[in-house]
Amino acid sequence: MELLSNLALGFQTAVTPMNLLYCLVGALIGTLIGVLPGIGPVQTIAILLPTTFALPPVSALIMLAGIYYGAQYGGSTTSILVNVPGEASSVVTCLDGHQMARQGRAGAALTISALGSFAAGSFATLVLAVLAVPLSELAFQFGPAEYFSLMVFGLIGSVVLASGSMLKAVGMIVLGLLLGMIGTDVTSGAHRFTFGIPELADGVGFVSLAMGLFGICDIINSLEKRETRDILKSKLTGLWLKKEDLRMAAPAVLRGTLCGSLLGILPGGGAIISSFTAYMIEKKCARDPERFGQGDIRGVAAPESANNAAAQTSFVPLLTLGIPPNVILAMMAGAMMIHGIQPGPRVITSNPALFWGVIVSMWLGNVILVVLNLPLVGIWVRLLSVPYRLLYPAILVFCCIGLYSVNNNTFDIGLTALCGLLGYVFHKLECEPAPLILGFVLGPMLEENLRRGMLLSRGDPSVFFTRPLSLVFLVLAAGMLIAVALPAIRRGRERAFKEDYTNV
Amino acid sequence: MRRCCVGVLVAMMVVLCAAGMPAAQEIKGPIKIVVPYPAGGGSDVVARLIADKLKDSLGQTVIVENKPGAGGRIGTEYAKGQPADGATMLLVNPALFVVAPVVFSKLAYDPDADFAPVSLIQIYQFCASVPPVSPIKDVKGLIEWIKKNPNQANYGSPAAGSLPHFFGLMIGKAAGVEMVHSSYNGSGPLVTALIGNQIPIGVDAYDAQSAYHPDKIRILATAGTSRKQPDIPTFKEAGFPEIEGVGWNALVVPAKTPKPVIDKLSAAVVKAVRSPDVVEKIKGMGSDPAGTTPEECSAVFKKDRERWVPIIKASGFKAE
Amino acid sequence: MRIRHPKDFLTGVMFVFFGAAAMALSSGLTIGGAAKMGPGYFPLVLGGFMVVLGSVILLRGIAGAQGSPGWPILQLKPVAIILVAVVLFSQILKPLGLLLSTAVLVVLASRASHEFRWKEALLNAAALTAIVLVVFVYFLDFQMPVWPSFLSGRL
Repeated sequence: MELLSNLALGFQTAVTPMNLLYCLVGALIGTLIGVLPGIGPVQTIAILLPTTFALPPVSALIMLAGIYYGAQYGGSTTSILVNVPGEASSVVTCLDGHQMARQGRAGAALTISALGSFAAGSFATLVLAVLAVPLSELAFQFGPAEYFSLMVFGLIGSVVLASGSMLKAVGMIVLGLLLGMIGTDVTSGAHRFTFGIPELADGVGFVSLAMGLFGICDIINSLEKRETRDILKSKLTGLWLKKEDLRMAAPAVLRGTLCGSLLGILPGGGAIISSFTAYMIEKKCARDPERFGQGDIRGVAAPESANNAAAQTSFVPLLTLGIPPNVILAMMAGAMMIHGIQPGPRVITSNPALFWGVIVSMWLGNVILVVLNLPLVGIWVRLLSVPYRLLYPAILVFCCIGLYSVNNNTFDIGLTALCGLLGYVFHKLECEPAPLILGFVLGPMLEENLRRGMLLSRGDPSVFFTRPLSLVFLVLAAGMLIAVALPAIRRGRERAFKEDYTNV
Repeated sequence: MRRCCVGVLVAMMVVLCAAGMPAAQEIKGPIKIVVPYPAGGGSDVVARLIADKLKDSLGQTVIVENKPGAGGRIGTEYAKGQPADGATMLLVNPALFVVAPVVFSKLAYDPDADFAPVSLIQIYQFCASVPPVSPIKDVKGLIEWIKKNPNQANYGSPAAGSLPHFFGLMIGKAAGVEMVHSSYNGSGPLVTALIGNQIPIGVDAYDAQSAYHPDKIRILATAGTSRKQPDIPTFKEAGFPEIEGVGWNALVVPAKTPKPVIDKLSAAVVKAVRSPDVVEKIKGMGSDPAGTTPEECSAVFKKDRERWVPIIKASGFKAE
Repeated sequence: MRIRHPKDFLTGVMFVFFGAAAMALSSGLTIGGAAKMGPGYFPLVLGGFMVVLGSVILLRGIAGAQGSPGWPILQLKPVAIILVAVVLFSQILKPLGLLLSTAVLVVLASRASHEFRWKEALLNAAALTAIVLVVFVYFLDFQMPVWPSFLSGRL
């Protein structure tokens, strides 16, 4: 029972008063910055990094990890309440979460997101403890062909994200792919569509795009409709979940957790992709897909569980291989290096207390977060009773400051205004922005791996079909394409036909 | 009358200069080190180590300011526009000071005209590696393998237009084969691809690859003047003297900064770099601490430009 | 000719525009072939696809069998004020500092609401400026200009 003794070592390390305190502080800061739109864990960890240099390495990592997954918890709050994704990975939560809030069910949405996140976090921590080493091998099976096919699969699936016209959804995906091409081309190093603006050399920031298409655009639309949002005040039903909610949400949490745990391991935006994928799976599995986008609790439970699970398992490549899969973990690698610990396979043997202490602290952090967040639900919901005319300027202020802090640059603020205008046009034309966001995220990886695959095979496209894992994804993608294009073979097709394709 | 005026003017200037001289060496306000990359990266970690030491030796607040974007060019341009009073230093590397001026037709700064070197702080090496399952065991085997399998002779680098990209071209040239270059999105993805045997050869900074056990990544040779690890030869020793060169991080200031201020900063930086705990931490990251005078630093800039510019130009690589 | 579904028609126009723009811009880049795709290859193909797709949507908008919800109705006041407020904030942040810019943003943005009242907006601005000062300046210690540059002596 090596695992038990390892976990015992982890508890010994994590349950010291000091480390518990840092875990609490990290989780608290994470929740707060997650709630503030535009200010993500990236900037916060960057700011707090120097202060952790004075701490012992275990405490430093425990606190930084707390900020990271705390932000995943907090990010959903703003998505649900004010339709501004607090975090990149909570964009999908906006779709159904905010609809729930409008129906007076903000409490239920927030509760399921906290509970789902907790369940997912606990499970993913266990995965991390038991399967860290074998799972880390998974990433090695992914060559350019596998990545390309996975992206194709994801893009075809993302049509499902839209609840209106399918043709328009495809167009939005392609537009997202094109927007993702802005910036420096990874393969050739050439600048594309930058119009000579150096700030665009790194591409359009994800935060700018999401903030513009969702946050700013939503404010403009609400003002146009002269909404006073009084419904939100009057119709607040109970904060707790109904039995029916739980029955529907529980399997969604489970699927979301599995999906997030797996995708979190892959390098590059695991948390974002996993939340999209989990939503897609839910909508595809559901007998009544037309309810998604209208405030379905499964549409909150699945992506929230997935992004939290992914946040947790993204530590696998860092702790076992020393490969940070995203920017935040790259900063944590930096924090380890400054303490003289080279992140990588040797950590587990040379610093077992650190490795297991951090893992156990993640589970403790999840307990702290759920305890912290459930009572907060009541307070957050009350936030909605603030008159909208006072609330939206506050949202704008936090968005703008957050945007500045991404790169310490005012350019991103202006870019977000432009994205807001674009979002306004989309809204007027009834084009949904969610597929565009996914195209934007996956596009650069799709192109990079397609080109690398073709380059390495000297122009022979058969690599995409002869590698088994790649073939599986392509077959799945083809299957999904058929399922989407021929609604006749779907269950409940009359209803789906009526609801989904009235605009085509 | 006129002579009187001139006399007064001269006297005033003398007084001003006298008052100004000692003040010129004093740096007003907090000193900031501009790091043109995001917090937490390798360059940032080094800058913070140095900043921490400078605080003590200069007796002033020293902060690290991250200005990321466009591969470091945004932060560099920003630093160029800061007051040249010694309160702003900038962390630079060969990508910004050697490669960028060649591959960008419109660069917003000129490394020589806009900046003055202070000190080299860190030197890192490059290496070529293969996956553990690879039949290639050494540099000789590498060249033979490339010659025998020109259709599979692919190599990966962490970025298009990085020094490892050009090192790879040199290896191909030594074998007489035009190797296909695939750039990855940084060292992390490259290492993953290398361990997973998705790419046969990887060229990267030594510190990005040495962290792995030889049964994950097999390093064939390093590109420095002397061995980095007792059992891994340099390319020069393996018979390829032209495959040589190192990367560095250096601190510079805006060009108009007075010489006495630069000297003062340089001395403080050298002291910081050579303090035992900094030396240990830099070595722990797989690179070597430097610490040079401004003149030595300038000589390194010049030498590296002479080495690389012809190679980059010959490759035809352009960023725009 | 009557356009049967104006929103679809306009969506088609938009997609064709973006597709054509992408094609035009990528023609200035290296295109390459399938074995060695240049930076222009992928956007060119996508742009072409976008033009075709946009045309289909456009034509269906003109002659489709769908009933139409009519032309989109625009109100210029909210969208103009909000976007101007955000862009203005980005322009005055450096010279005027965080606190003044925040106040300007709040007051200006508040004007977009049909319920705008001067007194309330000013109070809101004061409160938010105070919150920003505490949260971002003292608590999170963000690297940004807080006070107007003429007060801190540097421009």
